[in-house]
Amino acid sequence: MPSITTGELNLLKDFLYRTAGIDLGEGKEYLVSARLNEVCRTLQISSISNLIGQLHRGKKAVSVAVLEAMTTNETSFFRDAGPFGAITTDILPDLIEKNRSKKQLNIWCAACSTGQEPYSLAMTIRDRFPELNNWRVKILATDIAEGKVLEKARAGTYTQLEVSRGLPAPLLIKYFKQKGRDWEISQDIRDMVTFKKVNLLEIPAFLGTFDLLLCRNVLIYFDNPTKQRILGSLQKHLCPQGYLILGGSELLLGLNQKLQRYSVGGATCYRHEGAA
Amino acid sequence: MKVLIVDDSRFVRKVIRKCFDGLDVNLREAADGKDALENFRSMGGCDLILTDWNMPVMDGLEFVQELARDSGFPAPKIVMITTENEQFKIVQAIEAGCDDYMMKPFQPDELLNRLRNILGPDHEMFSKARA
Ligand SMILES: C[S@@+](CC[C@H](N)C(=O)[O-])C[C@H]1O[C@@H](n2cnc3c(N)ncnc32)[C@H](O)[C@@H]1O
Repeated sequence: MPSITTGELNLLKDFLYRTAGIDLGEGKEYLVSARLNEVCRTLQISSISNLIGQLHRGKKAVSVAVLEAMTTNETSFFRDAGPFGAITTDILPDLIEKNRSKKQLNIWCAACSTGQEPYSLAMTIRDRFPELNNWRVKILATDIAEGKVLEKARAGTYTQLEVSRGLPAPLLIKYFKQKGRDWEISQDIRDMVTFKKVNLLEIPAFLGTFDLLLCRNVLIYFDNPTKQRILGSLQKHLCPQGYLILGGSELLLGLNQKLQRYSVGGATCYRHEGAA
Repeated sequence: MKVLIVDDSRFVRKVIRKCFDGLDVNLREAADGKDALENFRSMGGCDLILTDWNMPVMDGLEFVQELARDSGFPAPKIVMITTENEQFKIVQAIEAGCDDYMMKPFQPDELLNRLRNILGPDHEMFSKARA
C-alpha cells in the first residue's frame, strides 16, 4: 500500500490543526495512509501525494473528504446512560419550570456526528415530555463534517447494527420505520432537529443562546489552548440558567473560570457560576 | 435479583450467563417456554427474564404472553433476544409485554446497557458485587 512521506504528513497535520484544531499526535502513519488511500479511491485521485497537493491548494471537495476521513465519528443512540438519565429526571424538568412563561426551549448538540445524539434528545422530548408538544422546541445539531456525516444525519436512516446500539426497542418501533434492511426515523422527530455545519473553532456569534448544550466526545481531540478557546465561546452561547454537558472523560479542570461543575441526577454538567 | 435465561441453545445460555459475571444475581436456565414457565413458578417468580423467540415446545412469544395472562407473581422485566429482526415481530414482542428487544449476535456491554436502562442505573445489581 502506498504510504505517506514525512513532508506530506506534516502538511496534513498542519491542515487538520489549522482547520479543525485536531491534534493528530505522533506515530499513526499506517492508519493515516490507510484512511487517505480510501479517500483517493472515492475521489478517484491517483496517489496520496496528489491528494495532499490538492489539499494544499485548498480544493474544497478534497478538504471535506480528508477532514471526514481523519475524524472519528463514533457515536450511538443514547450514548452513556448517565447524562441521558439526568436530562430526563432533572435537567428538562428544571428547564420546563424556568421557561414555562415563554414556552420555548433551545438545545444545541455541537459535534453531533451522524445524528444519533440529537435524535435521542428529540425522542426523549416526544416520549417523556408531552407537555412540550405546544412549546417551541428547537434542537440545533452541528458538526464540522459537512459531507457524508451530516448528510447521513439529515437522512435519518440507520442500519440494523446502528439501531441495535443503545436504542430501546419501544422507541425503535415508535419512531422508526423499517425500510428494507435499514431503519428510517419519523418525519416528526426529524422536523425537531436542524442540522448545520459549524466548526467549533469558528462558532458564529449569531447562533443564539441555549438552555441545554451538549458537546460530547470531541474535546478529547484538542490540545489545552484549543479546548480553552472552544469552551470560552461555548460558554457565551449558554443561557444564564443553562446546562453544558461534556463527554464522560472530558473534564474542565480549570480550563474555564466562568463555568462551574455540578452533579445533576448523577451526571456531571457545567453551569454559569451561581446558576444553580 | 433473580434472573431466568431462556434459550434452546446451551451455548447462547452460556454467553448470556457470562454477561453477568461479577454481578450480584441468582441465575436459572430453561431450554424452552414451557420449561421456563415451570422454572418461573418453582423459583417463586423472578425479577428479569432474557428469552429467545424460536424454541421447541413453547416459543418465547407464547411464553411472554402466558406470563402476562396470569403468572400469580409480580411482573418481571423481560428482554427478548433473538435473530428475528422485522419490525412487526418487534412490535409483537413489545405488545406482548417485553420491555426491550435485542438482535443476536450482541455485545455483552449492549445487554448491560439495556438492563441499566430498564432497571435504572442505580439498581442494586450494578452496585453490589457478588460476595
Ligand atoms: C466521536 S464524535 C462524537 C459524536 C457525539 N457527540 C457523541 O458523543 O456520540 C466527534 C465528532 O466531532 C466532530 N468534530 C471534530 N472536530 C470538530 C470541530 N473543530 N468542529 C466541529 N466538530 C468537530 C467530528 O466530525 C465528529 O463527528
